[in-house]
Amino acid sequence: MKALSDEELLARFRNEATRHHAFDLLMRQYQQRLYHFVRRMVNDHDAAQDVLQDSFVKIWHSLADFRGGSALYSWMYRIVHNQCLDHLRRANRRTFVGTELLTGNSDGAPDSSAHLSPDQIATLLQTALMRLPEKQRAVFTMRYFDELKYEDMSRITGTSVGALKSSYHIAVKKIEQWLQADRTNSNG
Amino acid sequence: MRHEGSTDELNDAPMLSGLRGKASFTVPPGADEALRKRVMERIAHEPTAQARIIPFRIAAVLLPLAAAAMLGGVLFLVLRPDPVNTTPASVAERPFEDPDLEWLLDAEEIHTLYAEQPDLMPLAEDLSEDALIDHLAHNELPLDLLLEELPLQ
Repeated sequence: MKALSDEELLARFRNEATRHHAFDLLMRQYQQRLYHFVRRMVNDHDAAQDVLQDSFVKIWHSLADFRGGSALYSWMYRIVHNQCLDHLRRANRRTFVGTELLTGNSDGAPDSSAHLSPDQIATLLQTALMRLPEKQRAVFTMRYFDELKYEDMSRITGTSVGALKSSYHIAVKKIEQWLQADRTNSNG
Repeated sequence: MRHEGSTDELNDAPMLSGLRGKASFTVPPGADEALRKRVMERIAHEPTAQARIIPFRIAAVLLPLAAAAMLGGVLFLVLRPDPVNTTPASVAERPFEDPDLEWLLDAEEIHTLYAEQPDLMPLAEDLSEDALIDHLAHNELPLDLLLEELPLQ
């Protein structure tokens, strides 16, 4: 199916007769990218689906007010990001993945990524990711996995570019240290 | 929205650099369709999305209330105690409120750090200023020291 431009999607959404169909198309176009962000934040498929579902309902209610000051994707990303933080706050938990996952599934040293499946690498990184504070985790996910520009991240999070750079810098250092420490433990 | 030059930031992180782009989650078959179906079912029972217009009679009540709330807010800002005479000790004790720094580190971590590091205490006075953020961002403040001092979670 050919992807529609944001303008085409919004034009169809503003038409009462095509609104629901346009929203279905919008979800088809963006749900996978948004799902991966949510999944990394909440670390659970079912919870990620719930957060994404609530996010899309919010987007449905707010889309008529979207005036195009930013890209549609970053506008939706902002809503999804806030929903994630709300979810984590409500759940009041920081889910830790046991370190046995890190060593048990990785078939040896983490630096030999050629021997790891994408799922195993995802587990390896997710283990480290879940040790970060929630907001730092969001910053790391946006930059490392989604490769967003700091300016876009700033619009999404409402935080200064300087603070985001610092946060990412610290997150990279922490995760690298953890990965290195795990490799040392595996080899030792 | 993707940023091509972001790999430079991983120069000092060879493991992260090597793993980049190789991780992906497996989405269970049918999960995408199921999600769309649930969303469409929910919005079918919700009011249609339209720019919300406040009925005139409600607006006639809400607008004076909003004006009164704004006036109260202005009076509070004018009459509240002067925050300038805050000592470093009380700065360290007060609740963490700076949203930028909240992104940088956990509030609890920062206050624990400041409380334990006399050399860093003067920085607590600048908690609300962008200068501190820039300081950290450009590594002029010993980031490594911060990292070493902070308990790894």
